[in-house]
Amino acid sequence: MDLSKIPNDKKLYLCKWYFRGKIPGFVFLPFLWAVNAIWFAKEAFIEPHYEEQKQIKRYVIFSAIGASIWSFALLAWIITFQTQRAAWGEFADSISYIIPTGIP
Amino acid sequence: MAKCLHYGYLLIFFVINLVAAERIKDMIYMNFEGVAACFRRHNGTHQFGCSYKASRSGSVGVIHLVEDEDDIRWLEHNATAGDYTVVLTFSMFTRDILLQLKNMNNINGVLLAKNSSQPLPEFYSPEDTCPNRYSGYKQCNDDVLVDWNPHGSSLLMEDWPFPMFYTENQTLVEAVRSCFLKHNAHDIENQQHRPLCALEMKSFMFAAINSESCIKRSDFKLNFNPTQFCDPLGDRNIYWPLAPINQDKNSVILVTARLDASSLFDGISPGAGNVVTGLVTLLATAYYLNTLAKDAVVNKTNVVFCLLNGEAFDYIGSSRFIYDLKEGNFNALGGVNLKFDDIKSVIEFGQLTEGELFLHSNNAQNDEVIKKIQVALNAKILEGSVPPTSVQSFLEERPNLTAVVISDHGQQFKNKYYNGILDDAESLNFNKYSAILMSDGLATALAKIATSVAEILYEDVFGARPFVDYDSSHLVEFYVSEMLKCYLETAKCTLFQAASSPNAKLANQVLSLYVGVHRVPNTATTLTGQLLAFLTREEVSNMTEAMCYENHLIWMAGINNTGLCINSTVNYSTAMSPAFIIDGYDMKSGMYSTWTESIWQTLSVRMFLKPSAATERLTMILGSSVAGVSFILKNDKLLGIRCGPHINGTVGSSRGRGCSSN
Repeated sequence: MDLSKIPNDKKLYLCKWYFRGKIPGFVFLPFLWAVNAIWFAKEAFIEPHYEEQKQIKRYVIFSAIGASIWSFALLAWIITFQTQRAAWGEFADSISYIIPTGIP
Repeated sequence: MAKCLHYGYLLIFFVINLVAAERIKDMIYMNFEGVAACFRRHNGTHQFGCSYKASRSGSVGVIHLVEDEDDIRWLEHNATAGDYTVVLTFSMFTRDILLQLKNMNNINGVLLAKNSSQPLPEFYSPEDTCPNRYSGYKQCNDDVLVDWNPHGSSLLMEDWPFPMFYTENQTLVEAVRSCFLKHNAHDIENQQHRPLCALEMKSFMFAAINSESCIKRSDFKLNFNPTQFCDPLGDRNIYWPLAPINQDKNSVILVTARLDASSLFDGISPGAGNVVTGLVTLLATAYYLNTLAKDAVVNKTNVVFCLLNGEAFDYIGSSRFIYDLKEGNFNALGGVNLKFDDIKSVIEFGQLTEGELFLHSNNAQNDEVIKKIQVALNAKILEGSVPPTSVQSFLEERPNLTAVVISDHGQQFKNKYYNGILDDAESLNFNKYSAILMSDGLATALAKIATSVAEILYEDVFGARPFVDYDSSHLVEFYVSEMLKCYLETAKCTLFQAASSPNAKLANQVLSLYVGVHRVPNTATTLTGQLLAFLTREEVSNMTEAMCYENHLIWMAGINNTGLCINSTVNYSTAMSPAFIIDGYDMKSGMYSTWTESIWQTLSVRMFLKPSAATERLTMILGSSVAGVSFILKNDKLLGIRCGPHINGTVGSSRGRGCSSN
């Protein structure tokens, strides 16, 4: 979708929609936040001023913060899990979806 | 138009070439057929055997023929061509050398090559110096220094981080050697600049850590795509009672022998001196006792012959047998529950050869049968000695049980290849031609043991000396030498053929006596069970094949392949360790055997010419550049190529036709 071709109020609606995720479990949508932050970055900071821009800017910033916190947490978990999996033994196996073959 | 025609011809030319020519894969690689792989096993606490670190795609190493210590030192300090695959002969296949290789980090595989022109090694036993060290009655603790197997190198008790393969195919050995000499051996200091002869080994093992974890991983229910990681070892025990078991009170003499051997390599466990001699003697004893006792009636003592399986792995068969007896679950003999208290004494046939015999005796001072056996065989008594065989399990359960092992060794095995791949007909000096003439020393010796024991058992059971005619005792020797042929030379032999269904296809090879995993029935066990049934048969005459099956009897080929209906009381029981059937058993407790075998997908070896590192780099750079350039070329925006019609107002795919430059 080309953002330049849609009206401003629709842009705000879209940005909000991406931020809230529409469904209650919006906190689990870090990828949606990341997309939102990148996609609307130009609208929020570069485009000339228009009425809804302030709100869009807010959503973009929050999306960016949310996405980075999420990716940091995810990265931390992935590193912990991958390095400690063998040491955790049976517990690690029980929370794994795919168990690697041939290694502890 | 003419141009198009040319292209057409060219296309046809390529297609024909593609279809008809040798595949590129076959031009590059030489596949090794008939190589035996070392694989991974687990017990409750550890991991044993071989597997390459963690790569399914196989491990590649430049071939290096190791003939002496200098070659090892060269590999450790001067080698330049990256990872190596070491080719060893038996003289270098020792614990010290292999541990040295394990500690170096540039070894990607070991190929053990049997060179038929070289003499056999003085000894080679990958087993522990004290087999089944941590299980049974008299374990080998540090305070009791008993080295039953003085030549044992414990190679089976190590975890090797590289694949190992074994070959005795002289064509392959020669191919490896000549490839090494041609490409690798000259100007060896600068070998990394040339293409080098290399081996690729695939023997990736799925299981890891220990039995407990790999079984739990196999049972993991949450996974939608469950993978098998390992299987418990086990098979079947074989039983044959001389007479039907009583419903209430029994007094049973157990005559046992082991049915399985082991080795480091898959598919080769000949166990000739270790297992076959005792096994054949038991079969011959059963046969002879059955002939003697044809019409007699048993009054108080009964004899049960049993062949126990998986004994090389912490006494799987015997421990399960005893577990079943104790739990009241043992009813393989005519559906009657036999109890452990019914066992009067245990007589085990251990490793046997010609020459001096020993009786490892426990609580047998007052036992008439044992005394007579000692006199008849002129055996030397070793009081309180418990070799690492099945009696360990029986004595562990009841230390005051009368139990003896008849064997050819005293406190140390005479067998130089115990549980090794070389424990075969050659090591026993078994000669098929002399066996045909029935003057074979081994067959005579085993037959003598069998007849003596059978006659003494007869006397004890029936209370009178048997009527012995020369012919029937002579026949025992004939059967012994025939059986030795079956187990030592090829399974495609007269007796196995006679004991199978008519037209059964038997493999023309020496049976592997490795117990294997419990869910795959072992051929050696099946054939041995049928052979025991054949030897102790009660023939039912005037039966056709169909009638025979209708009456739930067994239809066998018979000696002259005419078909034979027999009634047999031979039966099997499961020989899988109780550890796997007891709920919540602690795998680390060491009470029962916990051995499992890993699952694998492929075991293969192939040889090829590996380009030098410089060439490999060049190929990589060229490949990446081509990929990069094509990626740039494809990107239409960069070169300003506009493609296709506009569909729904968007720019069409650059893959579409009708691209034009603007």
